[in-house]
Amino acid sequence: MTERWQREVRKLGTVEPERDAWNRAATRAPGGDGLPPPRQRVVAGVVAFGVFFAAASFGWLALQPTAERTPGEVTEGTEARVTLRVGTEGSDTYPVATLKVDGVIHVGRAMSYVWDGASNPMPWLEPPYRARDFVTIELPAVVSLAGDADWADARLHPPDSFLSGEGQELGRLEMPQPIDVAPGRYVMEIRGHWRQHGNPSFYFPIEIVEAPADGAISTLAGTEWRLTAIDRVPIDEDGDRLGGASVEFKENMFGGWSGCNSFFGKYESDGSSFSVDGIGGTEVGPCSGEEAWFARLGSAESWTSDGSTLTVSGPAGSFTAARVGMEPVDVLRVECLPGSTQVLDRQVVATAQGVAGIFGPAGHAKRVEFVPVAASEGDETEVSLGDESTAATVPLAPGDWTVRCAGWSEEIRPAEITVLPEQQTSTSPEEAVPDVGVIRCRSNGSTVVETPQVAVQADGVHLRVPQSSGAGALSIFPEAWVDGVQTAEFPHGIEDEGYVLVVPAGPATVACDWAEDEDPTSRDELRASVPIEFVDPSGLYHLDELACPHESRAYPDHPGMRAYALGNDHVPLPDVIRRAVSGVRASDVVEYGGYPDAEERYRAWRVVRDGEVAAVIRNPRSIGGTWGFGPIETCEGSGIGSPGAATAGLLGSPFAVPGFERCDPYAEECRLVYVEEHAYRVLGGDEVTHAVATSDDAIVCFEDHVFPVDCQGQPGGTVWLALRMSPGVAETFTARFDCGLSPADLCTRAQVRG
Amino acid sequence: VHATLMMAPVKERAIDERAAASDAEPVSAGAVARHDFERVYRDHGPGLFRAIFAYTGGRRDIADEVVSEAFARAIAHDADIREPVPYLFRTAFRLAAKELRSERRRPASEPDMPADPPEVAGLLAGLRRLSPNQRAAIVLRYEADLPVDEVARRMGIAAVTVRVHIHRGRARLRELLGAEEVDEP
Repeated sequence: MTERWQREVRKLGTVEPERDAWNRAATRAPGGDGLPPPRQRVVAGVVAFGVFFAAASFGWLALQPTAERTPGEVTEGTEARVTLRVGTEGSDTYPVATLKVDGVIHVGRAMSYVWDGASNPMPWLEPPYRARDFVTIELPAVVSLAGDADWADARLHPPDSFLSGEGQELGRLEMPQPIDVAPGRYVMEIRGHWRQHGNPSFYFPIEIVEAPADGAISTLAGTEWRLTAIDRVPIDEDGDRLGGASVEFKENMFGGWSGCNSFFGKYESDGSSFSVDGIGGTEVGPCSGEEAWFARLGSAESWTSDGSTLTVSGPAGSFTAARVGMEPVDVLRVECLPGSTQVLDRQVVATAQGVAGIFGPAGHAKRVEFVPVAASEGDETEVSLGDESTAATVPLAPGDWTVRCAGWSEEIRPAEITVLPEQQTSTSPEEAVPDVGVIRCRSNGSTVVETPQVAVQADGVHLRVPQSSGAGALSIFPEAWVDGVQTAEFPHGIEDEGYVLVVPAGPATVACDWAEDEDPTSRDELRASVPIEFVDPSGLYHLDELACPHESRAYPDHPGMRAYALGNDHVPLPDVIRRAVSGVRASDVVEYGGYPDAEERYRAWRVVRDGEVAAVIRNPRSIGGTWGFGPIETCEGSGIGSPGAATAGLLGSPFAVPGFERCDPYAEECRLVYVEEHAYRVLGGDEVTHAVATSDDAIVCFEDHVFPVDCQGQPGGTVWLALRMSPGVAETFTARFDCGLSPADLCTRAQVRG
Repeated sequence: VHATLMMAPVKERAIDERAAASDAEPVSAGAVARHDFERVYRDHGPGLFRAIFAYTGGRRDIADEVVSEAFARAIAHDADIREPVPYLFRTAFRLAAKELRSERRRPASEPDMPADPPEVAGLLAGLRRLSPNQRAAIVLRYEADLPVDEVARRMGIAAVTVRVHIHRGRARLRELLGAEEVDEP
């Protein structure tokens, strides 16, 4: 047995490409006519970022703690994971070495090596090395081994003299080996051994650094900042587009949002020194202040930070930015990951009732516990987690709190937050709800809703997703849609544009999807979706979902066929619907569904009966002066629409057809009618002695009269017939559509369906 | 007596030729890889067309153009392609995504799309309520009967992501098209 939807999907097997498709493919030149010039700058940058963030996301996943650790595995500190494996290409095999630190993968280099008894040269990263060649490893740290080598050992050499053979043994990498050396730069040699092949050595320039003091940061990589001032002049949050500007630093690369364009580039930083190698980006629109910011970023020579504030300076001036995640927020977000409690923001502002938060979902924990750091600050409390994210207000007094996911067998690391006293604001509620929502996809897989409420607009919900995490899509799950989803896709991983999504007003949840790369959450379908509300104070949105539990499919005329009302696109669509769709009562309200100015493909009209949606007609379109629409969603028993039984397609029919009394009153001048074969037989007689069989998606052209059909009427088949129209109308058709096929083509193209 | 018939015109599609360039899989220097693309088309062309047809929500014009372009590129890069089928699918998906995106950015114009084939009109209406990737994953999994790993290989995305797309797409189609069990025709 098969579910109905599966059978429907299999029907797609009846769709075939054009018969001459292969000839066209075989004879065309690739990238032929009609191709625009490549947008090299953005494409190249986006691809580069996609590759970079894919690697970062993959590495992040691999570094997450798991419940099944073996003795000797890393439990804290930095892990420098070396992977040695045998690659293959054709019948050849060759060794490959990579080093993964903080989620970034680096490829090891060798001068040459002996493999399968032969000496092999290899592209070589020659000294002296540049600052960016060194992989930063923060102490405490260990080197661990993965892959398929029989064994491997590691040595650290001074970067200037490692070829002389000096160095410090780190030992056999049977277990993670601690890196117990003074901070500084080294070349790490990894010598792998494969019994059947050889024992090549690979080299990685690394820089060992001390862990920074609490709050301070030693590297920009992995940090995200929101611009707050240029040359110490604060950004006007409301009046300046730079008010939403931010920049995120990865290893040697950065990307961000200037308020109206996304941008990206490469940078080098050695200690406090800083230099940028070009800034690329989109050119969606001019942005006040963007040029000034980019001038300072592009010419910067140094940076300083106390962990929460970043100052970048150079000859063009300076800018200051606040660490994202360090600013006080109104809504606390806690997620429970394997082995760790993740708090996205360290400071949260309390209300009179406590701290509003979004927690979970359950998966790696059952509850979130809150324990005051100082005993006098209050009692312990907790929030139970559900299958989806849980919104709750937790009674936390101002002060420092330990937050810990709990209720699972394994130990889960806690996090700390600071609860700040309630702030007084003068913002009115109306002003507080923006009409453009902001959602961020973080590289750790989480979704951050910066605007818990968004006011809908006439064409839908406007969202901006200034993310550089590698996420490929954003899915919106409106409560009004049972298990339904609307997805905004950003296939290149970085998206700067705003999105207009046609989703119902009301509560919903959103979740970032990793459509192009590995999902960093590793939780597949259980990824957390975060609540958001699309508010609709003006009642712009009309629900276009049926109120009844049992939906059936009906048709304006006959199955799969569009309704046509030729030459009547000036007629209000509700009137056309009343005429074209049987069973619509005079007391029914026919009005738009969804949003009034939605993009055409999302438009819908609904039939409201006794205050409830009884039918929905989607995507009605005016094609060549003809309104057309496909199947109708109706409530069972409503009597709206034809339930699939063939009718004569009487829109515009000039004929009195027995059993088909409906007639379009707007069609007095129309003489085009579509009927099925059996209806043709019913009609018979003199009226329809002239008819033309057409393919169902064709437009029929006539001159002064029509072509007598000999090719239709195969037993059991369905043939669409177009009957004659008046000479005037035919002339209009001929001119409009530039008909050029011969009558013989009509027969060969006629589709007879069994 | 004269009557003529005209199919809806197929627009020249603006497709960025660079979009699929990264899919060519280089092989070692000097290697020669020759493929019988006519046979590949016979075996996989219709399936590729249906996948793109679904991915684009029933846009036959884009599917025709994209499949032709993908094969044209594959033929041009014959020696560089190790496995033509994944190459063709990934190239076609990228081209189709590019085209859909560029269409959204173009000013609205008079719609000229033909009506859906009646056999699949209901299905297409349902598929249009899904995202393009969900449509493609559903069709490759349930129409072409490919395992998830193969769907992922052809779409050029991770298997875990394919499972998410299938999960969400399946749930939506159940709702739209019906979940009751029926006999196979």
